[in-house]
Amino acid sequence: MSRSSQENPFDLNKASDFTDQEIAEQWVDLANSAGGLVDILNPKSRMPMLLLGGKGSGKTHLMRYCSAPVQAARYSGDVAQAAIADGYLGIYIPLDALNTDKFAREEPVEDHWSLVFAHYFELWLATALLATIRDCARSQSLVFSEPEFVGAVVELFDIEPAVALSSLDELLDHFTRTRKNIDSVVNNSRLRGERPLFDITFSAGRLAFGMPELVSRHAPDLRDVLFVYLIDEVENLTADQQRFLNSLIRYRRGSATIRVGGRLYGMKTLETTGSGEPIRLGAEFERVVLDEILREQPEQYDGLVRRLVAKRLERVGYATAALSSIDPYFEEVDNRDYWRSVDRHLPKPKENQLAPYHRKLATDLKSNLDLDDLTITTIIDALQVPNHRFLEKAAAFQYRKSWPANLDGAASLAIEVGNQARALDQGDRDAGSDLANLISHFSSDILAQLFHDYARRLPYAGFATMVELSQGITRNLLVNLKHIFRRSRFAGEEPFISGVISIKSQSDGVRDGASWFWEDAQPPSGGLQVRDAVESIAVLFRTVRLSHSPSECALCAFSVPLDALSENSRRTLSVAENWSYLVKLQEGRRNKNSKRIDALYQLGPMLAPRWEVSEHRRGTIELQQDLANAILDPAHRAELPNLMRKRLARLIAPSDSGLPTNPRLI
Amino acid sequence: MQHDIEALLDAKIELSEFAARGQSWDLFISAYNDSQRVQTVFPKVPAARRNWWVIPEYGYGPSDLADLEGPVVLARGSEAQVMKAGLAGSCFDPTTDQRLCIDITGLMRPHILFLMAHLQDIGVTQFDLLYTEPAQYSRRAETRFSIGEDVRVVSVEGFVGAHDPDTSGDLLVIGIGYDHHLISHAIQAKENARVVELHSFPSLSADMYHESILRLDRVSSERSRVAGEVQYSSANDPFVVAASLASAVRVAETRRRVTNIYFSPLATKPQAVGFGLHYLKRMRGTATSIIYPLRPSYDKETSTGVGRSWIYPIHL
Repeated sequence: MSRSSQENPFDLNKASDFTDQEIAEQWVDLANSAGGLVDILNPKSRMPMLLLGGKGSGKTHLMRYCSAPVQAARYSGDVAQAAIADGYLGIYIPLDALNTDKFAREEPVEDHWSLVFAHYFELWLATALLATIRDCARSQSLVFSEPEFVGAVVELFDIEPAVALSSLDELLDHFTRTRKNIDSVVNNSRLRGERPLFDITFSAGRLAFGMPELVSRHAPDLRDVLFVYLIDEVENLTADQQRFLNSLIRYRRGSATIRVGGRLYGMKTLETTGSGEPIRLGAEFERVVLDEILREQPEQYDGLVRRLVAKRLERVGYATAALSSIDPYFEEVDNRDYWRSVDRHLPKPKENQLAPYHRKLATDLKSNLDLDDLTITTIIDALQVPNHRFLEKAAAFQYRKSWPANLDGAASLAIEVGNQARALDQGDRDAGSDLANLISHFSSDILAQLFHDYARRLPYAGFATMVELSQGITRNLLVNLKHIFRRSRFAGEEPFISGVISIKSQSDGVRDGASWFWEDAQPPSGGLQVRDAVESIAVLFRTVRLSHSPSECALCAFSVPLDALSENSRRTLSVAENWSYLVKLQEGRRNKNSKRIDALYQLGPMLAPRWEVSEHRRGTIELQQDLANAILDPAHRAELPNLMRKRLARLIAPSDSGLPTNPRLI
Repeated sequence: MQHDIEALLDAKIELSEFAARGQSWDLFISAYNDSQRVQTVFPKVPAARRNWWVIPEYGYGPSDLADLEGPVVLARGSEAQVMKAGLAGSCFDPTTDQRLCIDITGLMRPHILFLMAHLQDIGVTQFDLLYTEPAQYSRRAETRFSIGEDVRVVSVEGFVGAHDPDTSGDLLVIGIGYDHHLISHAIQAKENARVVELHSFPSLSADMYHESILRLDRVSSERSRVAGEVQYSSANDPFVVAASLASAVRVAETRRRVTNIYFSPLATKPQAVGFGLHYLKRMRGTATSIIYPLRPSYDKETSTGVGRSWIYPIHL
């Protein structure tokens, strides 16, 4: 336990934080099938694949798990035996070290820079492949005809190397020297404004696909091994550079194939070089979105992250916590007896002073129904539920939703609703069935309103909530847990040692996480426009949630008629989805009027605490074309205040009362 | 004569001292902006010729420049294009303008770095750089230097290394400044790299160190890999920075194998000069690059008051 007093178990949240050995040791998997996550990548298939996903969804972890050094770590360090046993050999190639901007500082690039990139890129792949082949060749158990292989590789060049090469080391040196020469030429070219000049020594595809074929020939034990280029962080390539990669995917051959990892927005084009004809989904490549798969299997994801958290706890010495269920370490808002416990999270009620929700109700009754003070007092008295503020608030909520049509009904409605609330307080569910039914739908909104009424932050607590907030992306969960742990320690708690992590520490932690998520996503262009749009959507949800009469419970999603939107609006939605601010729900939603299926988007659950909206997938609101364009397209932004007021008119205040001029103020 | 960086640790001199010696330059160049520390120094510099450069990032229009005498107005482009156009616009001739001084206070960091590499490349191995400290940044810890969200992290032209596909030991040394968004961009651009923070301490003034730490805390979620890897260096002495950078890399190499190295100078401009010096003297041709998060625009005025003006004699 000595390390636990120092270390935050969730400090490391990126695959790059781990060595190959640690990747092998810390690996956790889905429990559903024999192959688990590796089956998703399917490295034994020759069909190329685009493995996409939100930031931190585990793409790099999965690709590195299938890479040669980690394969070797699973087979006592013998990479050749690992390749033979697994049937494939992963060559992991992160593209950030390629520093692709040196070939394409401004777009569109001149043709000669495309040629330089293509040559350099293949040399880069070939160097990584050759280094792995060399590791294989060193295996005692492998018969490898090294000089013959090297001779055959030299034959692949159109211009033979100036010096004779006979060993893998010499060949690798030659690759490295050639690459460094190009680096020097490129640097000088940038410095002097000259064209980069050097010899193109081999034709495209010759090394990347030719060398694996030669391995099969000169190392017979590896003849059934598939060489898989695991090309990660494809977003680093420009569209022009991706065309060359796509061409490699199209003209893949023999015992080599390609997996391309990247963010959702990573692929800028599917076109190839030359004709520009795009590569075809299904026929030439598969496309997998990792976090989408995990979101579609919530139970699998839940199991996966629990095992992941246990590993992290174990790693830094919280052995007891690692072996037990994680949930009891997280304090939860106790929902028994209709959330009676929330009372202790709210300020103490003051004697002879109305609760804030009753004060506001009294004001609305006066202004809307023109009731006299005595009647209002009678109504408020009838809605009182002593010592149970949740039920008292629920009664006020119900009263507002049922809002009396006239003066006569005002008092009787209060008595009816108040009686139901007090019946529930006494445990009589039958007598309070209508209110109980309403609570079953709107409990999270009533809770949100109650905390808002008392100007308290809404709690987000419980491990299950943390899993839900992470939206199928493991790093989101780890970042939230990292902040929660930090907050908890700062509050003097002993997380995972004794006691529980308080609701406050958890809530503060997820708000830190939400800030990170909001600031961290940095769309390369149009970021402000997208953030404005997402913020407007979140404010709309929040306004509905805190309104006089919410139309939807736990609102977190909206549907839009995509085809009817402006191009700018569709672009905003696409960028917001690519940066995981919005999650597109594949099922869509049937439009109430036209019966067509509209596109359906959920506000990223990680952002829910930022605006205190619901993180659960329940309520959906339909955005008509005009309002959607006003939110999503800056050209229509000026129309937003009016359209927003119109859309919310029936929700934010009792009928016929004066509308607030700015719904944001609610 | 080759000058080693360490030999120049106390080479910087104050402008007033330089002027008092009766020395002057053949050509003095300064990038125009609204800062008092740029505008008040310009007329005081002893030089046969003085030239304003109007760089595109500040977005000045013709009416803003009406009072300037013969400014060289530069169009948008890469740092290479902008700086070369600037030198051409100033009719810089290495044979006649043997004593060259450039005020870096208003220049962008990539401009400064490129200028150093370019001057060395064309054989100008000795020149002076001038920098005037602010009394304070205008909004203290909230000061915004760069504008806009469209950021692209690029290798600075002339500082592109010969990198290795093996990224397992990549190192990113960041000069920690006020612009936490830029820090976040640099870290994200080199996600696989271990981060070494080079803090400016002592800072230009006592409170600036604290202010930069406050800004840095905002990217705490990104900083999972930095535990213990913090180094300190001068804020206003590029020669000390160059020596500290060399030391930071040496320390990092003793801790773990280093594959590719990236420098990202995001603190003061003298620090950027220090990064440039170290690179041009020691790292050329290696697997090392200087990277910088480019933004389309920069604030015309970020500081208040005029602090000390330093002359840095550069020998490449």
